[in-house]
Amino acid sequence: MSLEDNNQEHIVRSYSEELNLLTSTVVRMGGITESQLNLSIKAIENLDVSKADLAIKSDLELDNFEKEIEGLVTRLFVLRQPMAVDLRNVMAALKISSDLERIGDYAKNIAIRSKSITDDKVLPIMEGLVSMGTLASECLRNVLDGYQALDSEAALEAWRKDEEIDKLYTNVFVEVVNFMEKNSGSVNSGTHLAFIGKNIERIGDLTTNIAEEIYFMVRGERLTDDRPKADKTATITSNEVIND
Amino acid sequence: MEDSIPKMRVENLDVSYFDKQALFSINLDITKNNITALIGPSGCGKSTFLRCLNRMNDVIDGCVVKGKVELDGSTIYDQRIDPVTLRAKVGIVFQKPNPFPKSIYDNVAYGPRIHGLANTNSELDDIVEKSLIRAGLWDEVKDRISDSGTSLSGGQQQRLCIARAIAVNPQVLLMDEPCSALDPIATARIEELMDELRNRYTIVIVTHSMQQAARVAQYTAFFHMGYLVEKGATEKMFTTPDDKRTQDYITGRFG
Ligand SMILES: Nc1ncnc2c1ncn2[C@@H]1O[C@H](COP(=O)(O)OP(=O)(O)OP(=O)(O)O)[C@@H](O)[C@H]1O
Ligand SMILES: [Mg+2]
Repeated sequence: MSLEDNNQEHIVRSYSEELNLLTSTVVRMGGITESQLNLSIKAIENLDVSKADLAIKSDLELDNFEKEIEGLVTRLFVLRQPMAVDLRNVMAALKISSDLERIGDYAKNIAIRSKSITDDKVLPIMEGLVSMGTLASECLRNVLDGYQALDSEAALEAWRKDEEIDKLYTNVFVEVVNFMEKNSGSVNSGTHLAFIGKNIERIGDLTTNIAEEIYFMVRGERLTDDRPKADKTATITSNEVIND
Repeated sequence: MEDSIPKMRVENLDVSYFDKQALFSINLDITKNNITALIGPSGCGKSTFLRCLNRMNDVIDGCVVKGKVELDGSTIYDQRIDPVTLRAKVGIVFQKPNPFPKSIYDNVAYGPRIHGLANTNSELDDIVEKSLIRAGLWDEVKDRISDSGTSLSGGQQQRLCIARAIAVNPQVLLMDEPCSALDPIATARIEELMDELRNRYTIVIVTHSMQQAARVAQYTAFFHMGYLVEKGATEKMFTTPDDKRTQDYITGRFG
């Protein structure tokens, strides 16, 4: 029994209203997360400190959203004891808000690191990171649209795209290590780049979590096939990098 | 309900009261040593179904039962089956605690006496004590065993009725909204008790509380307007039901 076929209101109307409020709060939180991520990407693209500061600031807002959603969810559990689609709805809201909060943390961390990069020798590598970030942001937007539209297919599509982010990450990682091997004076900036890449990769993973939660919320079945994994950075050795 | 042996099996069951049909070709296996919850809106036929499992409908005016009901593979609707013996094997506990206006002891001893389960008084004492222990009531009544059953609180009375039902060594215990007259604490004690009892008995419970079904039952069956709409593992029913009617009912969307 999927959520799309579920058009009837509850007998207790205030229950439907509370569920609607929960969903719209998650949607608003998603919007803020998305624009925070975009600010962080702008911050690394142009090493733009004012964008970085904005991204850092909106983290507090996300923390507050997460608390608000937790409050709404607790209230629904206590007062309504949601079942079936409603239960899946409430669970999804709780998990998505916590994933969004963590995405916010990573975006903030990207912004903070962008402020510590002063060495413009790294700018050519930044391009790869920006493509990665842009793709991650696009996935997040599609997933959040899927949440609002109860579209499990859209969520599924974004879920599959994570493989591309992982591939880009592997490339960026190799580039960064190469760069540091050649420019021993830029290790500090290079390390920041590597972490920024890692952060974006984590954002991609959290976005796929959200996609999985939406899929279960809408369809009542779990995504089972293993998500393709293309992040190979954990096994890359220095020799491979040099010979690449 | 495939994963364990059915204790009872119901096939193509139709029930009518005079010319009004109340149940339409019901098929349901009741698995052994599990709790099966029957849920559904008022008047959907839960109690009617429950009464078919121990032929309580035999004594109801105008009630006609067609189809197959088996206990351990043999039909219970057979001339040769004595309904009184059957009801000792398939006991029932009702919504309102209904102790006899007799002592606590006699309430529990009544069944064993008429079924001749005890040869001596001390054997009977044993059965009474064991049943009250299993019903979780012994400690509360052991010093007042000759007091009237009706002097107990509602929750205690319900546990007395459970003790009375299990005193005759039943295999199946039917419970029709056993907690609807009880407060949350008394309800919790009965639920806890049911969970213990299921090691020994197979239990079928009718309940209007979705939460109760979710808490106690391994399997749940949803009835609607005389039809068995959906049956399955309780967790599945309450998280991802297949039928829209089930979903609407358990989420509170029914008109
Ligand atoms: N003794 C009877 N004589 C005639 N009709 C009856 C009798 N008992 C039940 N019915 C009818 O059979 C249908 C099913 O009733 P039943 O009592 O089994 O429903 P139920 O699901 O147990 O309802 P509730 O949740 O209110 O206890 C109803 O339409 C009811 O009116
Ligand atoms: Mg009834």
